[in-house]
Amino acid sequence: MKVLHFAYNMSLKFDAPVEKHRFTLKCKPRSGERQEITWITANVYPNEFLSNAEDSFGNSCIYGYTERKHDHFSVNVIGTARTGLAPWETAGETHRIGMFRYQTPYTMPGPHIKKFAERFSFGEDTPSFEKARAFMTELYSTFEYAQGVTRIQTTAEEAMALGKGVCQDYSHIMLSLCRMQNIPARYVVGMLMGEGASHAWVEVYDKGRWFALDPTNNLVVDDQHIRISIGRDYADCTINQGVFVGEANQTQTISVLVREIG
Amino acid sequence: MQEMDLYRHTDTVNKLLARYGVRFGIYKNNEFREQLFPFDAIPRMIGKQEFEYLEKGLKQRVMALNLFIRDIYGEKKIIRDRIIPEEFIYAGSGYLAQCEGVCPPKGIYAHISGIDLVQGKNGEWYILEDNLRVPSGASYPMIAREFCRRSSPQTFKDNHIEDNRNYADLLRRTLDHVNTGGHTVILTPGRYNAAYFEHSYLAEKTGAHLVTGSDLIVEGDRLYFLDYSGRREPVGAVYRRISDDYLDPMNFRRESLIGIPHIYDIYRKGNVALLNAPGNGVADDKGIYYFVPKMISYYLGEEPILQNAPTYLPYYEDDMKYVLEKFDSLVLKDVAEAGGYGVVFGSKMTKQQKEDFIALLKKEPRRFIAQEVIDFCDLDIMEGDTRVPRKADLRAFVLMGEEPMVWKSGLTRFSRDPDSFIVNSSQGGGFKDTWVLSQ
Amino acid sequence: MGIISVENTDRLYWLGRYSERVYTTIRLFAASYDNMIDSALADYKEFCRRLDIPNVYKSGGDFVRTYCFSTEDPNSILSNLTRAYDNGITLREEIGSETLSYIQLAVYAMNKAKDSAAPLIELQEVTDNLLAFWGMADDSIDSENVRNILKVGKRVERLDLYARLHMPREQMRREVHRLSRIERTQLKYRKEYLKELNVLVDSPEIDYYEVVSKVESLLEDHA
Repeated sequence: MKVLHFAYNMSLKFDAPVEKHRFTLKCKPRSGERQEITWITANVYPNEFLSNAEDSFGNSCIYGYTERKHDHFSVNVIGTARTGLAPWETAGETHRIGMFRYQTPYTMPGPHIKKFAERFSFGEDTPSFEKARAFMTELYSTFEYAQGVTRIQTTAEEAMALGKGVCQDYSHIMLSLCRMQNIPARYVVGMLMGEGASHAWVEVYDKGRWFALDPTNNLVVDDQHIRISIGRDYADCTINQGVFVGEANQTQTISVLVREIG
Repeated sequence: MQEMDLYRHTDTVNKLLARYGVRFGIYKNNEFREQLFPFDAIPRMIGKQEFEYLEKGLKQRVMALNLFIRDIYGEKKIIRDRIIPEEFIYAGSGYLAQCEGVCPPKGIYAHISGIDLVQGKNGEWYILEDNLRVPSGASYPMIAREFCRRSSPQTFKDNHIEDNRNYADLLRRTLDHVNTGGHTVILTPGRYNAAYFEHSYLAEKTGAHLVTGSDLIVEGDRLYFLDYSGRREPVGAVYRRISDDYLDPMNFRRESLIGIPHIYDIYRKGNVALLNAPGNGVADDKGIYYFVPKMISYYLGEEPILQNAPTYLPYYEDDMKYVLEKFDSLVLKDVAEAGGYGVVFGSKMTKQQKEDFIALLKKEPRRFIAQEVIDFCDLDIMEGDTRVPRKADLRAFVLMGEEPMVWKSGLTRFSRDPDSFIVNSSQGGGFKDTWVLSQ
Repeated sequence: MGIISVENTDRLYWLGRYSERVYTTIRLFAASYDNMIDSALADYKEFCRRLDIPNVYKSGGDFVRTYCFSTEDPNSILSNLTRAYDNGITLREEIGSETLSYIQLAVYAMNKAKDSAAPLIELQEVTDNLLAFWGMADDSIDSENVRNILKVGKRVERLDLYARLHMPREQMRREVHRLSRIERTQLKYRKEYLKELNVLVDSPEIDYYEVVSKVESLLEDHA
């Protein structure tokens, strides 16, 4: 168990003013079986209209609208979390599990993933968690971590073809492999100690429990991760989504700081 | 059937339809064109008792469909109890994860349903498909009735026919029932939509405002109509004629320019009614159709009153066997397609086509359903001065207000090509008025 | 009730303008056509000059066909009628199917005239339908606001055309006076321009060019 202080900062700079800006932010971690958020505060600027909501995956959302012209948009979330409270999460509502068993456009396997999947053979009674761990280990040793070769639109299959990518790609490939085995698996966005940006990993369902695996680091998630949101893939967990009116180029800066305070 | 004065007025009515701009749009070679919807004056007649039977069956069906959608976005008991295999839900195109746990105002998901039926030569009615998303077509018989009465008043004096021009009233009641407080609007994708005439006509007749996405705005947790004088008028019900995908770029397809950002978020909070409810397409997938009779028994504990056309799911081994055996006598439908597309007749395929199709069927069994070709009861149309029989179907409209209501009429479409079974308007068919006799 | 969207306001205004443009240009065209019977001179050049449209026509015969019926020529009467129709079709619930049907009938009449051996006679039917449209609009549109916006469009267009044609003072005065209806709408317009228009048509020498310029930019958003 750890007590972690976290700070998430995202800022957008526009090189020309924009207006009628709408945004949905999924950037607030919530308390659960594995982590407890002991305090949290979130600031959004500009913020003419702000509302809070919960999406269909149970993620906390802030959505809002700013009509007036602005050239800067920022979000910062700070708080404290107690992590590593349990080795798994109990999957309470069984009717919320089925949707994670099916491939999405991001995770749909193609020839490269199918080929990779041929490397594995499992006994009939191999637990799902063990299968997932085998995927993770193999993926970690085969797939190369490299920034700048993939984009947020890159699918699992495309990343697999390239053989390299970032945490989003590792996670999508993991999801694809698990779902090919009929294992419900979900995408997680969160923060990790020592990482300067947001992070992604997966959770895998096994006999009524969700287990968290971080394929980018070949880790079974313990107490260094703070979960922000879950979904079927990246699209369900996009931290900042927005539309605005104006012809401007935007520069996004994200900084994440997670440090142990107790 | 006796000859009525009205039958001589096909041209008159068509002229009036043209005068009032009664059209539907189609895209051909990427170009938008508006076409007149040819009208035939010989009506489909349904007796009072027969319609009462249809009415009962349709209400039952739509009630079950509504319970099904509520279950699917809630506890999913029907999956748990193994009535429907999970993958028919999650791998289908109609299921939207964004709708999980969302309860629409008054728990209604299917407000306006268009149920397609055909009558077999044996007199039996069969359900062909359920259209729950944005079914269209009610405006055509509604306005045609107006012109038929004008053309041949005596016909309507002599016959006891339910007045179908009350559709606007039924629709208005349905809209008002779920309105959360504020104006009622009809949201259209714009005039280059196939059903634009209907959108504008229903707006005129219900007194709702016809709007496009840019006329509406979400501020805080409410939806507003932007008046030109700068006022913001609250909106409580949106009869949206745009598909789920395009409804809200912040929650569905991000590139949508015709939607209203964040409308789905305030709907989730219960601050506006959307008709029909997003995600209700999970119940009108052609693959799900097979299960509707089972739903009726499951949710209502009743025997289905109206039958499906005999349908086989190649997904099940037994059915696959049957389909391969009887291939030539079946019609096969791609569950992802609509509007008369993706429908093929086993008997009309060449040897090569058949081989290719069967290979595809074996590879993706869930993608297709197979049905017996029903020997439709043909309806006569006038071709010049002669009556000729043509294939026809009936789209019945069921509206869910405080209680389910079946419009005492419907859209009867016919195929103009004597060899065609496909009656869809986008494939060149025409339409008839549908009379429900009141005595 | 009684609320109109920004877009529909705009369309009402332009429906008014285009239907008026079609109506008035058909009448002008008919007069000009009559002149052409007696004169070998290409009267249509003068017609184009006065209406400030480019003379892209090769001959008197070409002018009659193209100016009336060409779908390619953006200044043709048919093109303007199409624009009126395009605006009208989106206003069914504001103006009603009955009113709208006359625009539809005008379009049918126009297409019939196009194929006719005596187009001028057939054009009369277009005019008839436009007059019926205005009559119906007056008679059947409940919302005063909708009627007024439509009519402001009509008045703006007429004044604009009359100024281009250097119509006599009395007619100019009457049209400017009729424009005062704009005060009864909530349209955003430049009040000082309306005042100036009143002054302009009263001045000894009417500066028609200035009238056109003022009337074109009378509305803030719709100019």
